[in-house]
Amino acid sequence: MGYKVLELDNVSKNFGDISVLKNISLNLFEGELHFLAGENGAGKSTLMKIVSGNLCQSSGEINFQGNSVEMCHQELSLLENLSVVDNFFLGREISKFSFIRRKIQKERMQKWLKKVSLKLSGDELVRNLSLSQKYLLEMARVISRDSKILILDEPTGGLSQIEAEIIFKVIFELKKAGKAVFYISHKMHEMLLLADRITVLRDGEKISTIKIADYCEEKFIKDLVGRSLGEYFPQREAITGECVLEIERPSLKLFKGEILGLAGLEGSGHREVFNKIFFSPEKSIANGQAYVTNDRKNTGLILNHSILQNISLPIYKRESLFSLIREKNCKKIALSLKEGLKIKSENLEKEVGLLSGGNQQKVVLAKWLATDPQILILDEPTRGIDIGAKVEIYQLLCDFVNNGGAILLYSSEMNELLGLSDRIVTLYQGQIQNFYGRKEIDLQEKIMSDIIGAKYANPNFKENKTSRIESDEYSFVAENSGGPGLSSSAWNNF
Amino acid sequence: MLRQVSVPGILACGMCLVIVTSGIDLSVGSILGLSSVLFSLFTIHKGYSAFHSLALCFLIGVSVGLFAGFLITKFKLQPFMATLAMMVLLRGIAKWVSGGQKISTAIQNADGTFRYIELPPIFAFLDHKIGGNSVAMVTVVFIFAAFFSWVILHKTYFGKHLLAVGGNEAAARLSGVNVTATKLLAYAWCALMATIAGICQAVQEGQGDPESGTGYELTAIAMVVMGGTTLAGGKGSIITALLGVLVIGYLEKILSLNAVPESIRLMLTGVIIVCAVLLQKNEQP
Repeated sequence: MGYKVLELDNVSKNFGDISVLKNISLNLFEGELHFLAGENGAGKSTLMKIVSGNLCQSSGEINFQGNSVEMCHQELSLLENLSVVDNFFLGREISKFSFIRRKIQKERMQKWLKKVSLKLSGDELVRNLSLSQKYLLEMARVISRDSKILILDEPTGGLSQIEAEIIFKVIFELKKAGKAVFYISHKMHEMLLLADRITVLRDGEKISTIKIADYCEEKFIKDLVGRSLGEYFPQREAITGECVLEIERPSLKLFKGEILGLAGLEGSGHREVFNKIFFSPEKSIANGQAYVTNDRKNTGLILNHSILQNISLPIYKRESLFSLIREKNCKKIALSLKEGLKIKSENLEKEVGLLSGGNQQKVVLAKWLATDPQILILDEPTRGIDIGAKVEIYQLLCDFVNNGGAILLYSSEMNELLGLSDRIVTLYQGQIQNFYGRKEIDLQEKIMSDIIGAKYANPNFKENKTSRIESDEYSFVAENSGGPGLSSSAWNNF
Repeated sequence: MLRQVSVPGILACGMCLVIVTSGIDLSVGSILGLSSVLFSLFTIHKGYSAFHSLALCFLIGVSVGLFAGFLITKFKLQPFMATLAMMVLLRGIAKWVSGGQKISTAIQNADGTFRYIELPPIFAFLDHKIGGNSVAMVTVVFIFAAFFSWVILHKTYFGKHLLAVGGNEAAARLSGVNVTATKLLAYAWCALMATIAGICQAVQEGQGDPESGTGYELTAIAMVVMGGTTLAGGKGSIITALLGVLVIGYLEKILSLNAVPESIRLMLTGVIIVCAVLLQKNEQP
């Protein structure tokens, strides 16, 4: 290992009252790939935004030792309707008398494209590129700025195994050239393949940093999920009744009086399941189903409408006579829900955009409870709200099932999932892995290993995975990757 | 005075329902022209009864609105583009139907001379004044249009759905709102209002002019926006839109009574629209 290129000393970050990073100290060496692991919301992306300068830390020191940092964004920052070369030189065009010198640009770009084994002339529109080509272009653009430190945030998200391997190859080249890399991913096999050191973050705190040589799966998973369970969740005995919902592919049954938890990483296919159930909202609502989406600002609430309007939206039709709304009924229902859920606001006329996150989430729940549902579908029901509001929502959900409702729950917070669910089903890439009961031993470890695909980390398993890749995708990538056998070379390299 | 703002006022009532869905309808001026031509054609030239003429005009007007709504909901055209196309198309149809001439009581004989026929009684009925010669029938129509638009927007679930679609379409859809039907209703209602405005225009002029209503869509939008309805959608009220109608209407009236030249009048109206919108912006936190 070379010299230190970056040093973080007690870096903390608060958003208002919520503390998202607590006293993180880290360092990064030349030629090293530093892997950041942690559940969603553990603070990985926030930390990287601070390192790259997109956010400012609340306290603590960062010593760059005179190096510059570049970040490859999770959401690609390319402009779809511009050509490859225009994107590549965006903001630093080579020009003479303000006319762009396209020929020179193209020549210079080729040098960098070669480094990421991308064969493009430069005139293609970015929107016609495949996802992996776009990512490689983004990487080429980033390394062309010749920064010492690179941050890669989920670079293989949405890519197939073979496409991902092209990116791994580029990363090995970069390490050889002495770059230092921060790497964020949820995939365990990538960690084992690429990492030199691993840092685990949980709830904004650094839990451990280890060298890959000292890696132990059991301890790693324990570090990842933590052990602070039980205190916040109401005790409850599940009394399950008849089946109220049955879906095929993946085949799931939901019973009256239970909370069925779906465990999986972002993109594991749970949202597709929910959207399938709630395919036609009008019909679903009439059948007593309610869907709390993961994004209350964009799909849950109408932010510039009042609490009353938001809660009454799904019931306006039911509460009208000859199309005329019975406003008194709506007000009565909204008021009783506002009080029942302890939504903090002087009156019902306040715009929900002005409420705190926790109160907004309660309005979403109130809106759905107004429809008298039998089944609640919850996607991240407590995302981004404080612990007090969380506990209140947990109590509410338990009351709902105790009164004969049924809940299908997805949460990326392991504690929440374990604390609430009667049964848990694990998903990995759209496939059901296992069903677990509430009282099973070592439940967290089993679930974690299911959802990060630990069993796929075994290279012998690879044959199974490639067979899932669609053939057209496969042939396209094979052209660019410089032939098969990449994986094995990567392993040797490692 | 109210008589003069009645026609743009009726347009504004319909426009308000479209704008709260975060849409816009640029075709109302052309619908107005078409409907004034058709109404005159049916009553004066064809000699249809008043009832049949009105029913036919309403039917055509609503279909035109539904068609624009269909383009917007089914083919996902931007409301601006869909109704811009309708605006040009309908103006063309109005000119084609009328042969580019005003449809009036003067009818050309085979030898090129003109003979005059009598105006049908419906014209006199809609143009006369009631209540001791103080309120024009056209104003009564305007008040009814405003009342029904108000009921739809503020008292029925359709209205709440219109606001919800404008506020956040995805959230509205997931809450069980039939977004397509809601938008169709908005454009159909807006076109119906424009049709009624066209009939009023024809009655006031005593003829159907294929050029009438040119530029009225912008006046209607200005009136609605001045009343505090944002083009972003989700917020709006018929009551405040009526205030916008009255402000712009009175301004015109006062300035022209004081013999202010048209150039100055237009400039002042522009300045006042900007000021009104800026004032509303400052009110919001």
